[in-house]
Amino acid sequence: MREPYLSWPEAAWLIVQYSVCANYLFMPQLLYSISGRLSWAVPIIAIPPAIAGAWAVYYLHTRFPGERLGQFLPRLVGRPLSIAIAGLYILFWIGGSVTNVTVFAHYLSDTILQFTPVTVLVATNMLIIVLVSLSGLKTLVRVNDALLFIVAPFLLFTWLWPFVASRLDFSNLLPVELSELTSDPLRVAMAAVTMYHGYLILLIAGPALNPSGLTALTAGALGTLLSVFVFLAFITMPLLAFGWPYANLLTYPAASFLEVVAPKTGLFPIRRFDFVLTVFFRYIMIVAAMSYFYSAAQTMSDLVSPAAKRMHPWFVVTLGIVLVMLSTLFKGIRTVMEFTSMWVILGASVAVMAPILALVAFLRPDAGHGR
Amino acid sequence: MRRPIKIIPRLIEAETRKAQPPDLSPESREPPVGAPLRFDDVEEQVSLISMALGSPSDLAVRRTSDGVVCLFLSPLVDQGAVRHSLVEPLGKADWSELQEKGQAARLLPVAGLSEARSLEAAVDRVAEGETALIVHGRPTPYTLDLRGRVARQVSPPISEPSVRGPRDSLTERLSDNLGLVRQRIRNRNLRVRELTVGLDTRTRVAVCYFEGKASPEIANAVIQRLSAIDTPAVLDSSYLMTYLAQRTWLLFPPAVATERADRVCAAIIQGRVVVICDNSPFALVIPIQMVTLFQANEDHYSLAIHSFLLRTVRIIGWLAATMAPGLYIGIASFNPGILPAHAAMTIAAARQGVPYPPVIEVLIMDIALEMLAEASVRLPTYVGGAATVVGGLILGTAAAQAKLVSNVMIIVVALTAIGSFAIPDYQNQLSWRTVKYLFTLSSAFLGIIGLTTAGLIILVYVCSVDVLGVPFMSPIAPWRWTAMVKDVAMRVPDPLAVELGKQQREEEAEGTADA
Repeated sequence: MREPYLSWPEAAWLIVQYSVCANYLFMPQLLYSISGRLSWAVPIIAIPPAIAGAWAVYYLHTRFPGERLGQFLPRLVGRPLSIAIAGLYILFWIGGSVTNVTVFAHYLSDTILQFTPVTVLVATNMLIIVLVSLSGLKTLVRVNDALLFIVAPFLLFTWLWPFVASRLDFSNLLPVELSELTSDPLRVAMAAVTMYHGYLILLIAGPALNPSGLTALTAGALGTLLSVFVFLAFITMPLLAFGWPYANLLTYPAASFLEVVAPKTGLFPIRRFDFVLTVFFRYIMIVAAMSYFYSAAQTMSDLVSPAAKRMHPWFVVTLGIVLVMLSTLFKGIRTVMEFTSMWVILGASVAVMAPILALVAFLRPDAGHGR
Repeated sequence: MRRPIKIIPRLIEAETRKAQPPDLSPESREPPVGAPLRFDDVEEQVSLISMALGSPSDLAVRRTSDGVVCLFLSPLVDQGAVRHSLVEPLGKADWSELQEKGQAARLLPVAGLSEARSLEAAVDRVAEGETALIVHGRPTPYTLDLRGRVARQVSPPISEPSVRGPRDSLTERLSDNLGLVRQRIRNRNLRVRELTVGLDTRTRVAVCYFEGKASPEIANAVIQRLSAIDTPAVLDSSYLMTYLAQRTWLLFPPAVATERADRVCAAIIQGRVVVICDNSPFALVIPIQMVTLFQANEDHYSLAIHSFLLRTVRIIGWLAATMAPGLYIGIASFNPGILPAHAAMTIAAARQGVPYPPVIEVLIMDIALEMLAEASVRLPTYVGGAATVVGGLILGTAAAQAKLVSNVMIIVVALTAIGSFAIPDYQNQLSWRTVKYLFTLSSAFLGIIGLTTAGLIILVYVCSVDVLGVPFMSPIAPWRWTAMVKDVAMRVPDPLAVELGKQQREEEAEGTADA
C-alpha cells in the first residue's frame, strides 16, 4: 500500500464518526439543560466556529505537513508551553475516551446486561481500543472505513424513519425565544464550539493524508457539514416528537431518540428495537473512543519521543489499564453526565486553541524549520 | 538456496591438490598408468558422483562406449528418452567428438543439455533427476534433462468442483501445471521465474505473473521471499504460505490455494502472482483479500445476477457458520427479550431438562460436529459418507432424546455445518470454524454484546493485516469503490467489468488505489 494512505473521503468519514460519537449519548440532554427548546438551533450556530477550526487545522497541516501535534508543538511554542497545550489536548482526548466507554458501559449495565459489572464492560471496550492502538492509525482508519457499512445505513435510517413514522410535529420547535440561548451564553458558546470538534483528529492523522494539503480542508469541512445532519437529528427529533419540556424529562440519553425512531404502534417490540439500536450505538461509540484514545496516546508518545515510529506497546497497554481504573470513579450514568459538563469546557478550550496555534504559526513563519 | 554437499568439495580439493593442471590436448587424453587422479578420468568421476550420492541402489550407470558413461537416478528419468535421445545417437556417432566443446549439442537431440560448472554441480543435478553424461577428457560432465516420472494425469478438481467451467486441475508435476497455464494464457507477457527452495528437498517452484498487470514490487517481493526460504523441506505449496506472508501466526490464509487451472489463470490475468510448486497440485495465489476467499471461480461462469444470489447465500452461510452458536447462547442465556415472546418460550421449553448451560451444550455439539467433519475427510469415501450420516442423524437425535442437548441446538448445529460448507475456500472455512469459538465464548460471557465484541476484535485483526503490502480487507477497508462495485458482493457483467477494470487501472496509476 502506498504511503500516505488516508484519502479525503476516509478522513471526512473519520471526522464524522469522531464528532458524532462522543456526543450522541449526552449532547441532547446537555443542550436541553442549557438552551431549552431552542437547543435545535445550536447545531446550526456551531457550524461557523467549526469551519474556522477546520481551517486552522488545515493551516497547521500545511505548515507542518508531515508532523503530528506532539511533534510540531515544541518548535511552535517552545517546550514548556507545548507540554501545557498538549496536556490540554491529552486531557480532552482521555476524557472523551473515558466518557464514551463509561457512559456506554453504564447504559448497558442499566438496560441489557444488568448483572454484569460496569468495570467488566469498560474493560471489554478498552480491550478493543487498545488492540486498535497497538495496530496503529492505519488499522484505526480501516476499522472506521469498515464500520461505514454498518453505521451509515443506521444513521440514514435514524434520519429518515421518523419522518415516515409520522411522529414529528414541527410546531414543537416554536416559539423561537432568543432568551433561551442568551440565558447562559457562555455555556451555549462552549457547547457550540465543542460540538463539531472532529477535525482535531487531523492534528494526529494529517501526515497520513493522501494527497496532502488542501485535502485536510476538504475533509475537515465536509466531515463537519455531514456531522450537522447527525446532530440535528439527535437533538431536534426528540423535541419534534415529544415537545418541550417533555423531551428534557427523559432519563437516559439516547432513550428519547429510541422512542422517536420506534414506529407508532402499540404492538411494536420496543425492547428488541432498543437492543438493535444499542448495538449500533456501540459501533459508533467504539470508533470515537478509539480515536480519542489513539490521539491521546500518540501525542503523549510524541512529546516524550518525537522520532519514534510506533508507540511502545506497554505504554499503550498501561494507558488502557489506567483508563479502566479511571472509569471506576464514575459511580453511575449521572456522574458521567456531570463530568461531561467539564469535558465540554475542555473541548471548547482545545477547539479555540487550534485557531490560536494557527495564528502563532502564521506570525512565526520560521517556526517550522529545524526538524 | 542450494545446500553444499560436503563430501564432494573435500574430495575434489584432495584430488585437486594431487592433480596436475588439466591437460586437454589430444595427446594426453589417455591417462598414463599410475598417474595422479584427474577429473577427466571417467571412472573417477563416476565414483565421485556415486559416493556423493551415497552409492544408491537406484543409481543407473550405463556405459555407451569406451569413453562415455551415462549416470542417472533411474526412478526420475524417462528410460525411453535415455534410449532414444542418448544411447542411440551416441551409438551412431564417434564419442570422441564429444570431447570438443560445443559438439554435444550438435550430436544429441536434447533440449536441456549443458555442461556442469563443477562436479559438485553435476551431483546436484543428478540428485534433481537430470542425467550426467561423463565423457573422457572433459573436466566436468554434461547434464541432460531427460526427466520423466510417474505422474497423475490431469483430472477434474477434487476440492473445488464446479457445475460450470473447465474440468482440468493441476497435477503434481510442475511442467504439466505450467503447460496448463500456458495453454490458457498464450501471451508473451506471461512471466515464469523458476526457483529451487528447500535445503534438503530442493523443490522446484515457479512464480508466474503477467508483466504489465502484476505489480513489479509484489512479483519481486514474492521471488525474494521464496529465495530467502531456508526451511529444509518444501513438500507442498502450503509450506510456502507463512514465508510469503512473513507473519508467523496467521488466522486467515494469506494466499488462496487452488487446484483449478482456470482459477490460476484468472488470478494471473487479474494481476496477482501465482506460485506453483513441484509435487503439489495446489498453486498459491497471492496477494489476496478477504473477499477473494468468498469468491468461487464458478461466479464468473454464471450470469451476474446468479453470481450475486450465490454470493449472498455464501455470506448468509458464513454468518450462520460463525455466529449461530454464539447467537443461540446470547439469546438463551442473556437476551431472550430480543425474540418474540412465543419464540423465546419455545427455546426455553426445548431446553427444559437439559442439565447444562447453553455454552456447554454448544461446545459439546460443536466438537461433535468437528469430529464428524474430520472423520468424513479422513475415512475412505464409501465409509466417510456412512459415518457422517450415522453421526449426524443418530447421534444428534439420540442426544436430543436423552436431553443432553436441546432440539433447537441440533438445528443450530445443522445451520452451522451447512453454513460452513457454503464457504468456498477450505482454508477460509477452517479459519472461520476457529473464529466461531471466539464468538461462542464471548457470547457466553456477555451475550449478544459479547458477540459484537468478538466481531470487533476480528474486524480489528483483519483490518490490521497486509499481504505483501495490500490491505487484506480491501476494497472494503480501505475503500476502493471501483473494485467494490466490480467484484465484491456482486460481479458486474463482463462488458461493464472491463470498463471498470480500465478505471481501476487509472486509479492505480494515479496512486488512489491499491495494487
